[in-house]
Amino acid sequence: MSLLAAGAAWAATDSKNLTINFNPAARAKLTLGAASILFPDSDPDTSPTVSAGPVTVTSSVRTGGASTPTLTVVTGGDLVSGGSTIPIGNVSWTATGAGYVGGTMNKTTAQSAGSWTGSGSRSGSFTYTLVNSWDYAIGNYTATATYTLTAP
Amino acid sequence: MLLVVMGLAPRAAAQLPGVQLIVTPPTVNFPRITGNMPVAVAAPVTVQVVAPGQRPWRLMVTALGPLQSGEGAQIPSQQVSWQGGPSGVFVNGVLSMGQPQLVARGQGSKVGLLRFTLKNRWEFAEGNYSQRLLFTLSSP
Repeated sequence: MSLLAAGAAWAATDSKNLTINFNPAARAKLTLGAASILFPDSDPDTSPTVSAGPVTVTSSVRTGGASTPTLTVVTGGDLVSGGSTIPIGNVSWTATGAGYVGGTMNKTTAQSAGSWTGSGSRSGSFTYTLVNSWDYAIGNYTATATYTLTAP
Repeated sequence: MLLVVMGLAPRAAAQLPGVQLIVTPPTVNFPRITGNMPVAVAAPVTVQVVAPGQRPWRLMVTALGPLQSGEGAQIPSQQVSWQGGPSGVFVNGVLSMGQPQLVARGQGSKVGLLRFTLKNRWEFAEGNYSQRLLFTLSSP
């Protein structure tokens, strides 16, 4: 006679829950591949327009799933060289990359350069064109364009 | 002649003391990510297994769902991983929804730390995300 309790299999378990929280806030980061561009000097008859670029651009946005982040550009004024000016409206750009759009520079009203839906990091490029003209005085013209990426 | 028959009733198998799992704190909060940090790292979680003697055990973790925001956005469980220590008992791993993943195995009582990491991606929508994990300690 065996007094051993046959089949004394046993098992023990315990369990616990752990809750993970993450609260990402809206944020935006804009990266331009160049801080300046230079239009080449050229004969207006043979080159009625001159181009610069492309400048790579990356717009990284974290926002709501249905929100519309936007990229706009506005200049601080016309192209200026001493007392001479070239209207900034003579500068336009074309765009590559999903969501990016081309347009014409404006010194008073911000122009759309891109828009998307929801979060993400989007890359593209801008190529700039200046209307060339015999009417321009010689000089070193400068204008500053400010790009603003907004995550609503 | 006196025949004495002792009533040796079969003795029930002795009730072995169970194993116990203690996880503290019960909540992990990933910090708000600043700058270009590719990952968010949470404060470590202490895991204590209480097992008598050299009783073997195994600890698994299961993600009961993705990180879910109140607005309906989701972050897949696989974006969350952990580093476990001390090595030899606790292992590193990646969360999987509905699929138990090994966290640790050993014998007897042990204490370890789990440090959870979340991959940071621009694609995540803003929001307040939450996810529940289930740790299951078993001793065969």
